[in-house]
Amino acid sequence: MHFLVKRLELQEWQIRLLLLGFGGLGAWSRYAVGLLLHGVTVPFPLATWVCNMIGSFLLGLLRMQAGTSSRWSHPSIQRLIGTGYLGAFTTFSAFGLESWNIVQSEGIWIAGSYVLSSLGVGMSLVWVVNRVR
Amino acid sequence: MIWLYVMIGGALGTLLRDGINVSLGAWLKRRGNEFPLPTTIVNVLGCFFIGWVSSMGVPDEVRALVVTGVLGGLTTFSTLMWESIQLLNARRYGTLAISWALQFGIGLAAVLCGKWLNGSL
Repeated sequence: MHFLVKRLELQEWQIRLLLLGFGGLGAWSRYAVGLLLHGVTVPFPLATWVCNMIGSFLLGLLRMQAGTSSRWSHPSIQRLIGTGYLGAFTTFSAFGLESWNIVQSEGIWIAGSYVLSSLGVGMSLVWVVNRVR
Repeated sequence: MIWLYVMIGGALGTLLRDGINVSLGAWLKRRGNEFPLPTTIVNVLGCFFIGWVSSMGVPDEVRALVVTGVLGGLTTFSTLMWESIQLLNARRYGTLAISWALQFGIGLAAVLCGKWLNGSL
């Protein structure tokens, strides 16, 4: 893919067209994780949480490549995979909606554990990626 | 075919977010401002609209297109985490506090605002 971007020197409109594809795939992947983990609660629903954690970890890895000589460092790749795929794979709106739904269905403590674990685990994963390399 | 609605919505939401990123990002850069404003805006807006649309009782297809697709594609958790760690590393605790107050405070409250608009609070 690096090869593709480098050789073609994508125009802005081409990147936007590709962004539609990457964004669509990211959202589809999130939907697929939702189907796989449907009904899995710990005790809060796990699907969005898992997408947000995996996506945050992978974005950390990707952003660490920016500015290096890696094949992942190309600005178009960063934009397509970082904003496009991982941006669509993770979600803040569903996180917000679920937080309130959990307050109603499970109570404030479970909802609090959902919010705090999203924040805590997400921050830790990115922090670790930032430290390791 | 629900997955197709999710894909189409996700594609559109992502394009919208990228547009906000690019235009607002360029404006912020000219002003030398490093506040993560694009992420904050898409996340707060997305929260408001998910509260509003999800409490409308729309058909599954519309929900997949707009809620899972567009609003899921528009908002992001991964970039929020990345930008937060960058602010922490730069010891810009004040900026981080404002960013979190806006997204976790105003953003989560915006979900309720959206619900309230439909009288479903």
